[in-house]
Amino acid sequence: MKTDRAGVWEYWNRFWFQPLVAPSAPISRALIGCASLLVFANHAVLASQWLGDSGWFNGSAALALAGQGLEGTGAEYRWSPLYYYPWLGFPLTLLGIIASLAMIVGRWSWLGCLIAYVVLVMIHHRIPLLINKGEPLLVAAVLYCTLLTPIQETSLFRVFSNLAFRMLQVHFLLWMAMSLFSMLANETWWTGEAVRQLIVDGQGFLPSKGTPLWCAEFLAHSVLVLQVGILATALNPSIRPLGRWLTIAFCAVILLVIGDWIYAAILFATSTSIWPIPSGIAVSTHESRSR
Amino acid sequence: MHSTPQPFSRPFRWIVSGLLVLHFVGIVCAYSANWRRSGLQDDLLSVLNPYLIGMDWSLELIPVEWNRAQASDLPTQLVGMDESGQQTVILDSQSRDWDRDRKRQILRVLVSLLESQSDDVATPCLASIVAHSEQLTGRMFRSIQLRKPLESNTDPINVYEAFVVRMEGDPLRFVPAIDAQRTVPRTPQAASSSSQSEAAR
Repeated sequence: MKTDRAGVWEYWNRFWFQPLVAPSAPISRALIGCASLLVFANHAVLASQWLGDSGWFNGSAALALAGQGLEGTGAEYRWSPLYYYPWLGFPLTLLGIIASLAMIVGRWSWLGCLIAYVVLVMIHHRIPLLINKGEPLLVAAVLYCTLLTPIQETSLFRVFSNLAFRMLQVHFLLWMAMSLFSMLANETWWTGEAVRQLIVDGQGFLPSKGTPLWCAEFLAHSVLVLQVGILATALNPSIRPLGRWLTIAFCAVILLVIGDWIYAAILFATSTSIWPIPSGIAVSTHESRSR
Repeated sequence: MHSTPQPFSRPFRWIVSGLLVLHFVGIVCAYSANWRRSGLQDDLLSVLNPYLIGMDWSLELIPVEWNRAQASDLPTQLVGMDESGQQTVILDSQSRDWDRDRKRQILRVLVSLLESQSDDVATPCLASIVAHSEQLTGRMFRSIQLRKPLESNTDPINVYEAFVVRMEGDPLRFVPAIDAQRTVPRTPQAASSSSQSEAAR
């Protein structure tokens, strides 16, 4: 029993505290930067309509929805200068775009990640309940990436990089598990009604009229099976390579059913922490070139 | 078993391990409590909220399951009517706009709030939406209606109808003509609301 405990502790240490040996880490950060760029570009286009004080959702509406003045809602922990300076919406999204570019090219990337994270939180705190489905995952991924230091750094920095990379992997899997369980908790995902309604509402790229019922039901079952498959392949090293294709298929289904490019991009980018892009087609970043 | 060289001391690793466990317990708690939560989760979240909300780890009712196909997810329209009786669709859950996800979500939230009679929370949202729509269309709305079917494959009905009340320098206010989810007019207010909105103008 004592040996087992020692083995678990040794495995735990190796998982979290060994120096980073994943050469794909800068590529993952660059892809997360691309997803972040998409998110900021989207916020920039919609800034006047959704972040300004004369838009669809002004500061009073946001505070009311966040539960200001009600105990237990946590509204008092929201901090965003956008409540006091609504004109800051567009400049902040531009700052986020520049920070995302720093993440992509790999120069001053830790600072880029930190700035992108802070700006994302400001925006999220300003428009509670209305952010993209994948943005909570993205904000975590961007913060973890601040610790992804260049690979040729000292052993101590490489341990921090490993810690960040592992947190990103675990967070991605928790996200997928939560997404799966949320769907399984709804009867409409078992019957296919959830997807049928999305298709009828014309949310994705399938025609709202003329798509047969069996197609909606097939897609609903596929969404569940793909998520089970992604989790199973990530946790089982012998079938892990299959997970990359399941993730790509899942992102394709997202586009078909809800047409959400940003969510698909965020999921794909964060999944590369587990399934790295093959080196032959990987984008070259500043750090990967200098190695 | 081969042991890897560790740049961190053992006590430091213990501390970091403890923080990692706490961090991910908080994340799991926040994610799993998105729609429903136990008393234990509620207690834990009230302790962890400064960290989870302050650092933006929480989900806040974002529809991560895409669609639940429940009453609040049925096709919904917020319609404004001006003095001449002309109707303008302010928000449509089936729109194909670039920001359709946000419009769909805000309608879903409005339906939930109005059905649960949380008018005090819904009013600032409605005021913001109606004021922005008036700015876009150049029309002044006399009343608004929230239309949706009560069940799938049925015709939409007005689940909420209210007169718009304008006071100089104040946000818009709304006097309901019918209660949410009820087709029977709220008689005393319905009768007085039209005169009230007239007086406000």
